[in-house]
Amino acid sequence: MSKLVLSVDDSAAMREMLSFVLKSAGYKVIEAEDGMDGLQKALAQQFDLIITDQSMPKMDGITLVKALRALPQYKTTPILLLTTEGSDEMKGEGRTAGATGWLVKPFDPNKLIEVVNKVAG
Amino acid sequence: MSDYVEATSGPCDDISSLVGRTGAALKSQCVAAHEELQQMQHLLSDATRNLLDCFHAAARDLADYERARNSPEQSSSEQTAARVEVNLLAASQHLQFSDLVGQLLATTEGRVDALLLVSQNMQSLMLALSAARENPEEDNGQFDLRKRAFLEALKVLESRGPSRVRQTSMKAGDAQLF
Repeated sequence: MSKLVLSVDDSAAMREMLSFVLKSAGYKVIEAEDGMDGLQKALAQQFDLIITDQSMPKMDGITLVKALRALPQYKTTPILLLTTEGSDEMKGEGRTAGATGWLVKPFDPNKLIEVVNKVAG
Repeated sequence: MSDYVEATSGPCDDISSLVGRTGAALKSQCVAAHEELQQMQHLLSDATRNLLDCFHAAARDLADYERARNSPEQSSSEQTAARVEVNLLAASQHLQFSDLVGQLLATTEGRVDALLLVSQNMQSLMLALSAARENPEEDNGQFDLRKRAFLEALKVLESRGPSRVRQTSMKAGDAQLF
C-alpha cells in the first residue's frame, strides 16, 4: 500500500512539483497551503511523512513541526523541512523543534526521492 | 538604531544628520534592490536555459518513442519512456525558479514600498521645513509632526533586511538528515 505524504507549502507551484515527483515514486500526496492548514489536515488523518516549507503565512514550518511533535500520533513521524533558507542557525532551530531533516530549494528530484525513501521506508 | 535625531528639536537642527542618515538608508536599500533584481535575472536565465534543455530532450525522446512504437523491440520503447520521465523530473527542479523568484519579488516589493514611503514623507518634511522657516510663529507643531512621520518611515526602511533567498542559480540545494 502506498505511503501517505503531507506536502505543506504556500506556493501552489511548489506543491504541484513536489506532488509530481513523489507520485512518480509511488507515494500518495495530500497538499496543504500553510502551517495551519497542514496541522488541521494532519489531525484529520494520519500521514507517514510530512514535508513542509519554512516561511509561510499563518504558521511557519518550524512552528508546525513543534505543534506536530506535541501530538502523540506524530512523535516519531518523519518531518522534513524543504525551504529556500539554508543557514546553520535556521537548521539548528529546525533540529531543536524535532525535524528529521532539512532540504534546501531547489530540490533535486532524485535526491528528494532518495531521502524520502530513507526516512519513510 | 541611532537616536540622534529627536522629533522635538528645532526645524533647522539636525537636518544635515537626518539627510546623512536618510542618504545611507536609501543607498543601502537601492543597492539591495538592485542586487535582488540581478539575482532574479540570473535565476530566470538559468531556469529558462535548463527548462529549454529538458524540453528539447523530451521532444527528441518523444520522436524516438514514436519510432520505437513501430519497431518490434519492446525494450527500446521502454527505455525511451524512462528517458522522458527523467527529463520531466529534471524539469521539476528547474521549474522551482517560480518559488525562488516569487520570494525575491516579494522582498523587493517591500523594499520599494518602504523607499516610496520615505520619499513621500521626505517631500512633506521639506514643505514643512520651508513653511517653518518662512513663518516660524505659524508652524503649530507641523514640522515636528512631519519629522516624526518621516522618522517612522525611515525606521521601516532601515529595518528591511536581506532577502532569505540566497540562491543565484538553479543548482540543487543541500539535503541533510539530523
